[in-house]
Amino acid sequence: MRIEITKEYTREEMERERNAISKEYGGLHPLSQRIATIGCTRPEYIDAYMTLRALSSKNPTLTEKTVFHGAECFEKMTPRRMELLDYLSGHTPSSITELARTLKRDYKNVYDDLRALRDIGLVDLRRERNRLVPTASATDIHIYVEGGHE
Amino acid sequence: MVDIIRERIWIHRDERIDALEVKDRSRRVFYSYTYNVKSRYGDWRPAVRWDNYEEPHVDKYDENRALIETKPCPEKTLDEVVKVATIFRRNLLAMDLGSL
Repeated sequence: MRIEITKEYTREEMERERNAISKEYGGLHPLSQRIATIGCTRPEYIDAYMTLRALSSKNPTLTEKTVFHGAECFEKMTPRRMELLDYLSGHTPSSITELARTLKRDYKNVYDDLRALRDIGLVDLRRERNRLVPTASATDIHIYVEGGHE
Repeated sequence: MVDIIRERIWIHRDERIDALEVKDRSRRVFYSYTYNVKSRYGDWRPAVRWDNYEEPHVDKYDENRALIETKPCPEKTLDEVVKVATIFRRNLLAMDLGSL
């Protein structure tokens, strides 16, 4: 069994991503200079450079996929986490507290599940004033069984 | 039209492949497939990486993220890398990957 979770970036999200990479690495030119010096010793610089260059082109698209195979599916995607994802795909709670209250779950358990989902790229936790606002970042979830049949 | 595809494939709870492909009108112009391993400190560190930056090659890293080997390697697809990583997992570090 294989689970594929896909996120298609909107134009605004791509712009945010481009700005975030530029801010972290200093822009295209400094990045290319840095890579010329360090080569493959820091592979994340090469990935950042290629991503930034592509994002700076005309009409780019950005797709993110997370893929689980076999037992890993169930370890990461527990029923409770699937329930959270399902809820977040149709609602935008203003805080984790509100989400926990709506789902009648303990705050800490919800927070831990959201962090686990964020770590595998399925949820964004955006800070607004003194609270974290959770949003689902996946646009598609596909489940494949036996050799790729959906 | 330039397409950027970032993919994360979980091999095991402590092992994953982070892939980046850049396609120009459906033609793959850049790829990097990094087999990452979770360290005892909880962060992810590259162990083996295939990419075609400048030329297709494969890099190996030690547990402190230091580059320990670079070898030319035929172009790889993500499916090929996932298959190799799933079969050999951490033994990849001891293998001659340039000849695979």
